[in-house]
Amino acid sequence: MFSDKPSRRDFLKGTGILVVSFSFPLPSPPGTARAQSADLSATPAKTVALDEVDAYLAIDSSGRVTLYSGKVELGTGVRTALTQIVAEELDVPLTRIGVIEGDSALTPAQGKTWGSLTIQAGGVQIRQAAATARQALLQEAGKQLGAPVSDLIVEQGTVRPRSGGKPKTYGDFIGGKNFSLKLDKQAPLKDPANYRIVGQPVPRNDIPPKVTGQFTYVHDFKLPGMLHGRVLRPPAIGANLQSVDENSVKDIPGVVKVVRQGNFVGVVAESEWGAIRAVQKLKASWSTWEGLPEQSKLWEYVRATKINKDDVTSNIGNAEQALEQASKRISATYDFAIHTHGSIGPSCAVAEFKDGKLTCWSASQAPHDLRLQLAAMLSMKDSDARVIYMDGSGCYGRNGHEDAAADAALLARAVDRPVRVQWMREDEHGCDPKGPPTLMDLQAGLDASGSVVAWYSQLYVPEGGGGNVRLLAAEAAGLPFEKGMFPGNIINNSAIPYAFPHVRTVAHRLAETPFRPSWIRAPGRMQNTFCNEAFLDELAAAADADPLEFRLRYLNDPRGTEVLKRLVHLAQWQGRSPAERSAKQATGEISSGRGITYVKYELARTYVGAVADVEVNRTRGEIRVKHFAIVQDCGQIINPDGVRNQIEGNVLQTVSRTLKEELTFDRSRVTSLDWGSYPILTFPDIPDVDIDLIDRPTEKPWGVGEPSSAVVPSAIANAVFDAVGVRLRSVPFTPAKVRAALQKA
Amino acid sequence: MKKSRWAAASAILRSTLAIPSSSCSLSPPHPSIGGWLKVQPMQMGRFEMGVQSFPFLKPDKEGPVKTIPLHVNGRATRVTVDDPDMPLLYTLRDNLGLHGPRFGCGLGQCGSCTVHIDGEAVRSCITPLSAVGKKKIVTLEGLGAPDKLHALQKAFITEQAAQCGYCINGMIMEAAAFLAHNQNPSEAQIKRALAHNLCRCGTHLRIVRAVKRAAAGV
Repeated sequence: MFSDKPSRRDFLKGTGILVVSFSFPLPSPPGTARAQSADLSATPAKTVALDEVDAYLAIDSSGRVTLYSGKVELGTGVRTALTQIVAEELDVPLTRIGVIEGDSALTPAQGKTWGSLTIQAGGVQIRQAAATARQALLQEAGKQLGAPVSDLIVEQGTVRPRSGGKPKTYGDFIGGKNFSLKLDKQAPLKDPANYRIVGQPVPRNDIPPKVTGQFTYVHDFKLPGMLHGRVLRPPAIGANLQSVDENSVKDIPGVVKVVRQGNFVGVVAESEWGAIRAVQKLKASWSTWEGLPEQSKLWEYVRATKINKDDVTSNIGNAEQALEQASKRISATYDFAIHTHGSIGPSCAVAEFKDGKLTCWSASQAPHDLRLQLAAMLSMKDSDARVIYMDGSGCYGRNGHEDAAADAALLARAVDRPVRVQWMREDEHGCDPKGPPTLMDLQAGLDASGSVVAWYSQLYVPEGGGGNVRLLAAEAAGLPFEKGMFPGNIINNSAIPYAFPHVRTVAHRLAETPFRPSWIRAPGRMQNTFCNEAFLDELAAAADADPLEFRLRYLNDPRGTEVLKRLVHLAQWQGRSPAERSAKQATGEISSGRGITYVKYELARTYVGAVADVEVNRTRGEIRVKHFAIVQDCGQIINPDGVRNQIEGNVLQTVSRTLKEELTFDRSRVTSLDWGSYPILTFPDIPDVDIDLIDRPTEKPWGVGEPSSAVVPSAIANAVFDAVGVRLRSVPFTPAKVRAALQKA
Repeated sequence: MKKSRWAAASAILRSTLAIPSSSCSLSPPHPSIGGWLKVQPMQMGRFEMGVQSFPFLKPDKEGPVKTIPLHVNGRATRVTVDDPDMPLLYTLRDNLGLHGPRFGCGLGQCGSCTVHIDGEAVRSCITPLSAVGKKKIVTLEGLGAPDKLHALQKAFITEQAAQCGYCINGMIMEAAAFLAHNQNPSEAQIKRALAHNLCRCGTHLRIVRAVKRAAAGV
């Protein structure tokens, strides 16, 4: 029943791709020995069709399984989690599974690794592929062993009849052959009650090589004859290149070429240091450009930007009319600064042309889409470009990896040798696309009893959703690229999870935003949850209600209610009367407080409740986040330690974003170009985090990479109110803003 | 000759850094930056403070290729470079193929490039090759190997103390130098010791737990 195919060895021959497997916990040592150049013509056709089992899984004659995943490991542990799903569904030991990720020629295009969808969408596809494969393997086993499928016992990748007999491995049935099967939605999934691998805290197999210096990141990847490139950035975002003085770098040893195409100018050198020196010494003149708004007037600029359309994200009853009739009206404006991704390792890629075909090694979260972007930029056939994923520094969204790939591709084409480009720190801070500025006006009405009768919010964010963010090199060089803004689906969570009688939430979609936008972890969901949950806290205070009880009052969702109720226990939440709060706030230079908050991610999946404990220094205006308690329900948990790692990371990263982070710029360009001017949270300021996970093995597995970040800013804002009685409505909560708020109070 | 040139370079660096930087908020940089270079810590926050602004990194004049002896991970070796003032990081990564130390900022701000020089945690991205001399360099690869893990490497695995893992080299190297002089540190001391190592994924809690575990020898 299975059809012949070329061996796995043939697939991988000469690709230099990394096979990370549990049986070989340490990948081959870095260097050129392993990293040969890819040769598309030598790679036999392997299906990558999303509905084919062979797109996802191969089993060789020894029974070793290879998982081909279009979703990639960005540092969140999904490589391990996806392996657990396959091991569980196929009943194969983890040590017998290798993973190939994000190779556009070998893996199915399962979509970008974004939106907390790797397990929820990609993992579910892979699970179905494994279930389909298992069903076919057992049918074949039944035939060969002369037993009905119901009498077969499957253990550790072996099959034997219940009546006895020598076990056979999957390899005996399928080894060296294709499944040639469509994904079968009816293929039976294992009963979660029998899970032994899913739900376990399986250790990540990439951590041992990462802590011993043995792991090959894309930054470590080398090709024979590889050169190093760097790109000269314009002194102003919209500046035009007027001239380049190539003589300015002639004294630097090893400079191979100064590459110029339109406004794109880069250097290629034999050594990395040579390329760095050359790009620093290269003299170029540029036109002036001062097209950015004044930073001090950013919010006026946002408010004045042309609105291209309105997205009404919810509309219940007649909110505007109900507001007018309310006995108490409250309004507030919230804003959230422009953020950078801030990857610790600047973006990096290696590109090579061979026989007119491009191969690019990249840590892009979207290798399949990047391949199309590179092909479009270079006016190549899609089939002549290949992107191979290798781990990079955490990106938390669409950072500079794709742009570094385009830089490398342009430079490699110009010199006809493989070129590696690693961005410098100022490239990463200055040139990665930014999380756009977010502004929200909120109004609500209470009746005489303190019940919310109306909620009306207006969000001001750039238009556009997910897509392929334009490549800097393509734009600079005047080459083709996809027009438009792609900030991510940033209107998500602008609607609210609470059942008020009249609700209207509108997103005004702006025609432009100061910087090339893209998504950064929980794009929009974080900003909108901040605005909504902090404003809700204002309403609770106005109604003299406990903020936890106030939320429960309007929540018609048993899973959400359970999250909040468990939060009461985890955080030892005790309601505080307004009098108690006033008494507490009256004393001392340092005041402590706690705030509660809640999100149902995209109003459709993972639930998170959080309590933050903070201390506020009234004199200095400094906020110290001492502790976070998080309760999360993400449905079925694949790897609880991976989930905890993500929650801890979400909390700490977002405490950083909330307290410290804000892009700075002048009229020409970004000025926060290093860690001094764009500081992030450091060890002495980290909070402790307590986590309670609600595991629901029989439910769908939902994403965890983002949801617990969305609750952090509002939890802190609400805790600061509890501590000192002022509302912080502008992220980041800098000491200057805190002092100003306290003075106004 | 070499010594006086280095002294001159240091003087230039010192005078460069005496110029007030922009008024951004700063955390004091890692002590090794000042300690190793014997100058005041660099100011952060200026675009000009990229590698570009290190006058000492530029040779007096473009000279021929030079061979420099180094002692790395217990072995004497030689590297051939065209600029002896190239930061040590590029020699380790590009000449010697050691990928423990990683490029993060080139400014001594983040710690990803940390190595030990004579047992001291040093930022290799701002340490000129010419300044190393006969001192002994140890990288993450030299600290422990897959079959002979250092206590910290073992603890980082046990605690699963990594997300993307890019900063982890610096965390382990910094912590190893710290623990060598502080056998029984408090949690606050560990946090202070790692205050100049940046992690973006938010793995700090696990990193602290791993360092505590290694310190306790469990």
